[in-house]
Amino acid sequence: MPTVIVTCLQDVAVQVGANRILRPHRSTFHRPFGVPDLELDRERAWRRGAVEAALKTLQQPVEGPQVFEY
Amino acid sequence: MNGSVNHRELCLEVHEHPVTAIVFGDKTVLEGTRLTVNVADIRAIAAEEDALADIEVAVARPGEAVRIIHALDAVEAMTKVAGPGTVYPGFLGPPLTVGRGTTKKLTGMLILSTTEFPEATSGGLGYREGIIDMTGPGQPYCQASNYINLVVSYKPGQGATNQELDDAVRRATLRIAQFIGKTSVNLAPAKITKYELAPVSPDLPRIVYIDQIMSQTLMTRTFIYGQQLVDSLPTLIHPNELIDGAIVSGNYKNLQKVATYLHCNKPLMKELYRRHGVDLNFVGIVINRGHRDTFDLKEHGAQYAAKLAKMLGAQGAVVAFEGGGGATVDFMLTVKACEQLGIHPVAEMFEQAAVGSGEFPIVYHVPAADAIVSRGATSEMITASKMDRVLGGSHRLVLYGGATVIEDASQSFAVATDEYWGVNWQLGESRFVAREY
Amino acid sequence: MSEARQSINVLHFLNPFFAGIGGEESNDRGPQVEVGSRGPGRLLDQHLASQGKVVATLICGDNYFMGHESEVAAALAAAVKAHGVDLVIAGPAFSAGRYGLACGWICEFANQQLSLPAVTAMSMENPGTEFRRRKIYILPTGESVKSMPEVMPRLVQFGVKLAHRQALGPAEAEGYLPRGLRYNERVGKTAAARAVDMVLAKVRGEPYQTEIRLEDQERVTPPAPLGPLDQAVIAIVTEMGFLPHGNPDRIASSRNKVWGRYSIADMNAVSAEQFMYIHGGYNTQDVDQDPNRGVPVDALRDMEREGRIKELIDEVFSTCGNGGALTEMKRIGEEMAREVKRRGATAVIIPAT
Repeated sequence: MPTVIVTCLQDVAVQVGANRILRPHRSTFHRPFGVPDLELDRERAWRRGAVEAALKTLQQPVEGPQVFEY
Repeated sequence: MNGSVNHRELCLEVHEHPVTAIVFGDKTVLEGTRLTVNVADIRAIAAEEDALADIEVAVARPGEAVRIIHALDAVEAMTKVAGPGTVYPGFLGPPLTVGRGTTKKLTGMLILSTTEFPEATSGGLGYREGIIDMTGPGQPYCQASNYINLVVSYKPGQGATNQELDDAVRRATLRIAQFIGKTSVNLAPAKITKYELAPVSPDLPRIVYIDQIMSQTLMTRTFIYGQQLVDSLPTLIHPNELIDGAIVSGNYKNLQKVATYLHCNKPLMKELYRRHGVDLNFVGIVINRGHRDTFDLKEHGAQYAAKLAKMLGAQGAVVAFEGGGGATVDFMLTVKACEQLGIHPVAEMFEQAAVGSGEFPIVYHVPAADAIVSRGATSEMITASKMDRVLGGSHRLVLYGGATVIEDASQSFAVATDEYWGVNWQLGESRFVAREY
Repeated sequence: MSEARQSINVLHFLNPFFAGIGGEESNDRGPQVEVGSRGPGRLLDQHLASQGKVVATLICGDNYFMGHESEVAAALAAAVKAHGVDLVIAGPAFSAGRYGLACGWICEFANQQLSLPAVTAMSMENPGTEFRRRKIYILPTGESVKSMPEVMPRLVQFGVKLAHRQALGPAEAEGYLPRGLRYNERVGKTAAARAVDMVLAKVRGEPYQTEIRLEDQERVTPPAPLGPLDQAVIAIVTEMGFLPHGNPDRIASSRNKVWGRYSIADMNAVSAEQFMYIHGGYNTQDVDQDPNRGVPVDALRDMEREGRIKELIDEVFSTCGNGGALTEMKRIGEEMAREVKRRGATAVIIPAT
C-alpha cells in the first residue's frame, strides 16, 4: 500500500529509497506537523493543510523517490 | 594572505610538564614528574559552588583494572603564564582572545569529572552514559583511557537542578584544572613547542580544517569562549585558541562527545600543524555547528562554512564529522559546498552501521564525498573485562539508552563498543579503520 | 562443513555452450553430470595440478535453470555426494546474464544447503553479481571470454584457499567483489594522518582511495497510488517515539528494539495528559506539549468526521528510531507493516524526524 514519509530531511528519505516524501516548510524535524509559534487555531489550520498535502501525495503516481513540498 | 601578516602576534609557546604519577599528600606540588595532590585544596575549590555538596577524589592509571562511570568531561591541567587572557577563557576569566604568549601544561594526565544528575532526563535532553575502561578490550574505544586521570566525583547539593549541577561541575573542574596546572609555574618544562602559522612557501597546498561541532540543548552543549554554540553562523578560529581551551565541552551524548581535552588537542589540528611548512600550508580552522533544524538551515551552514574556507584561500579541506544521524546531512552538505567552490574535500568520519551488519555505513551522502577516511565502525560486541575498582559513583550502570541495567559495574559483561566514552572520535585516534569483506 | 582432503575434489558448473555441447538451443537442456572436466574445466585441472582435480562437471542450460532450481539442486547434491566434492567452482560467466545468475545460485546453494565452499566469476555488470550480497564469493572478470586464461588461475588460487578454510582478508586484498560486510582493523596511521595524506593527494591530482565506497541504496518499487480519499483507510506509523505515559512497552530512547500500538479510539485528538514522546535524537519539548504536532490525529479525525477520508485506524503504530540498528529497524518495519495491513489500512502516513 502507498506510504508517505513526512520529514524535513527529505534527502535522507530519498537516499533510503522512500518513494513518496512530503517536506513541510514551516516545521522542523522536532515537530514535523507542528508550528508552535503560530496561535493554536492557525497552527491547527496549517496542520490540516499538511495532512491534506500528505494525502494528495499518496494519490500521486511516482516512478521512484519523489519529494513533494508543502 | 600568509605573506603579509606578522605572525608573531599569533604565536603561542606551550611548555610541557609530563606527569607519570599522582599521589595524595599534604601539599599540592609537582616534583619532577610526580604530582602530589592535597585533596583539601580540591575540596575547597568545589566548595565555592553552591550546587555541589561534596567530592571524592581518586586516581586511575592506564592499564589498571578500573572502570569509570558517570563521566562527564576530561580536562587538561594548564595555566597561562604570559600573554593575554586565561586558559578556558570565558569560564576562568574574561573572554579575551587567547592563543598567544605562553601556556604551561601538565601532560599525560587529565582532570576527569563525574557526577549523577538528580533529575530524570529523556529524549534529546537526556544524558547518555558512557564508560571508561582503563584496561582490557574496551580500552582503545574510550577517550581519556591513555591518561592518568585525577577523577573528581561530585555529589550534587540539595535541590540542585541538572543545569545548575552541570554548570557548577564544569566551573569547578576547570578551576581545579588551572589550579593543578599552576604547580608547574616555576619549573623548567621538559619540552617547549612554538605554535605559529608562519608564512610558508606559496607552492605548498593550502589546507583548511572544517570542524563540525555538536551543540543543541542542555546535555549536548559545546561552549566557545564561555558561550553556548547555538544557532550561530560558522566561524573562523585559530588553532592556538583551541590549544588554550577556547572550546569547552558540555556534551553528554556519549557517542558524539568530544571531551574538552580533545578539543584542545584536535587530532586534525595537530596533524596539520605538524606538517605546516613541510608539505602543506595550514590556513586555519572553520567551525560549523551540526544538527541545524531544517534542511535549508543545514545547507545554509554548509555553504557559509565553505565560503569562509574559500576566503582563506583553501585548496583542500579536511571536514571532520561530529554528531548523530541527522548531523550527517549538515556534514555531507558541507563537503558538497566545498566541492562546489572548487575546494577539494576529504570527509573524515566514523561509520554508522554496526560491524558485520551488511548495512551501508553512512546515513546520508553526496556524490562529492568521493574521498572518505573512515575511523571505523562504532558498534561491535565485545566482552568488557572484570575490574578491581569502579570510580564515579554507585555500582549500578544503565546503558543502551536505558534498556540495560548492570547491577555491579565491576563485573565483566557483553557490551557494544558504542557504549564506550567518546568512541566516535577515539576510534580514529586508536588507528581503527573498517574494511569491506 | 566437511574437512577438505589434501587433494581437493572440485565440481565445476558450466552451461552447455561453455561445456562445448551446443549453441543457443542447448540452453533448454536440463542438468547432466559428466565425470572429470569439460571445456574450460581443463584449464582448472591444469592450474590445480597437484592441489586437486575437477572430479565432475555439472552442465545445465541457462533457460532451463530458471524455474527448475529444485531439479538442479538435486543433481548438484547427488554429484557432490557421489564424487566426494570439496569445492564448487561455477562459470566464469563473463557478461552472460542468465548464466551469471545461475552461477550465483549454484554457489549460494552449495554454501547454505551443502555446507561447501564455492566461488564463481563474472563481469561487474553481470546481474548475477547481486548474489554477492548473499555472501557468495564472486571474482570480477572483464566482459569478454577472451580473458578466460587470466581468470582460471585466479579462480583456482582463491578456491584452494577456501577449500583449505584459510582465513581471508578484505575483498580488495583477496580479489573478490566486496559483499558489504565491514569489519574493523587497526592500521599504522590515525584517521587524522590518513585524512591529511588523502587531501594532499587530491589537491596534487595524485591517486587516492576512499575508505568508504558510495553506492546506491536498494530501490523499492513504488506501490500504486491511493484511490479516492473518501474510501481511504489511513494508518499512522511513526519512529518519533510516540507512546502513552508510563511507556508500557518499554520503548528505549536509543538503540531500541521494540514497537508498540497505542489506541486512539474515541479520541478527537491526542492529548499531553495521555501521551508523550521518547527519543534521544531530537528535542521532544514541542511534541510533548501538543502530541498532534508529531502524529496529526486531530486533523485526521476531523477529516474522518467530515467524510473526507473513510477511516483513521484507531491505533498509532510507534517505535523510536534513534540510533536504531538497521536490521532491528527493518524487522520492526516489517512487523508493523503486516499489522497495519491486517487492520485494513489502504495507506500510511509516517511522521518522521
